[in-house]
Amino acid sequence: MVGTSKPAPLNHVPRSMTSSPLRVSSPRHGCPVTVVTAVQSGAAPLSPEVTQTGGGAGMKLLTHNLLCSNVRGLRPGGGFPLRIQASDVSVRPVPFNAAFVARLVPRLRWGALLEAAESLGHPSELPPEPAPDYEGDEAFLRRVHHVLLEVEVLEGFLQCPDSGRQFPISRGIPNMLLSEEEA
Amino acid sequence: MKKLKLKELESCLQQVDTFENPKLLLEQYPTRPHIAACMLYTIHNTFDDIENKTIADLGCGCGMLSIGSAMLGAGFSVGFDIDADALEIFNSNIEDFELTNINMVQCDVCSLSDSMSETFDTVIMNPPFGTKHNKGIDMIFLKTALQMAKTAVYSLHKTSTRQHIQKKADEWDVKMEVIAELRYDLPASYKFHKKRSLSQRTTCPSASLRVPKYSEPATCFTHKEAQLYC
Repeated sequence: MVGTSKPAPLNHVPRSMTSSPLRVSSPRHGCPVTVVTAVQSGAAPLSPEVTQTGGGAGMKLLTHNLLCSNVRGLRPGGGFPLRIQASDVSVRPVPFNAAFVARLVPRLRWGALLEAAESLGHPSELPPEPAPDYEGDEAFLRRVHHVLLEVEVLEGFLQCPDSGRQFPISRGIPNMLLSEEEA
Repeated sequence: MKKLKLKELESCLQQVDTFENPKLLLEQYPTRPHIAACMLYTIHNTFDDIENKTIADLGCGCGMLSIGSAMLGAGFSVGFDIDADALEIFNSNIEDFELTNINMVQCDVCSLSDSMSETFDTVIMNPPFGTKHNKGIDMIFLKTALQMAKTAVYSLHKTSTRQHIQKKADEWDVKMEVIAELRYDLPASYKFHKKRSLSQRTTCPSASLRVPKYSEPATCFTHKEAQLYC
């Protein structure tokens, strides 16, 4: 049937308490999703600076790997990779999905990923290029997973390598809005 | 990933917090849980374009479509929106739902870099329709989405623009299919929203489009007059 006669819940659903990255999460009220257990990712030891951010996810390096500067008038192919200047970095465990990571590997801009991880003080322990048999190498995939999805930038800047323009990151959200003159 | 039924998905999406003070000029209104659930369910079960894929949500607002995608097993979703207030609500939704594979970017979708070509597997969006001094914005969103998507774009548009979109699709050399017609009927319980927010559409039928990047064999169906049922 199209449309429902049940009154829709309003915005007073109680929010869950600040989540601990290692707590087994209980399903949100009435919502039968699979319980996500935060699992410590394999090869990489959990960094001593795991913080309970209590907020949404910070900017992951996967997002950084996809983002280009949108400043006008750059040379073709310019504006990538954005240089990260982070003042608040954290690590949040994310469930490891080998199939997903393996699919991503050939599409990543590998050099930019390694450079970004290094610049955040989380050297990736990854080789300069993925080995030909990377798909079956779980330890390798777990290291990729860790830098791509578990290291987060909460506060800082992304800097356009060509124009020098800085884009702030606050609460994990990069702000790429250009001013009227720039747009 | 446990297989989620349509009704379960819709029920979860009803818990997503939405705009507190929708901005009319940005055409802010939440994608209704029923529509979001039907759309995402089809994209996942019929076309397999969500599970383990990277997804972009252009004009994500409070994140209804991104959150639904995450529940259906998306590998990673990124929402893009111009409004910081909407993104703050999206962020708190992510926290509430304890989702770890979603990010968001504040930007003007119309000014995204051309270099972000084929950066995502799938784009799923409910773009502004262009009714508030921003005529043509739906087509800019669509064009940007097509650049960013590797496989397909799923988008909601007014039925009245279907011919125009078909024309553009031909120009851009992409195949367009209408996969469902949905009615934006507001049930009685939403009446107060109608008073607060003029941007709510009452009986505007809109079509959900699938725009595959490249020609595919004709196994995909066209449901011109179909209504989706729970």
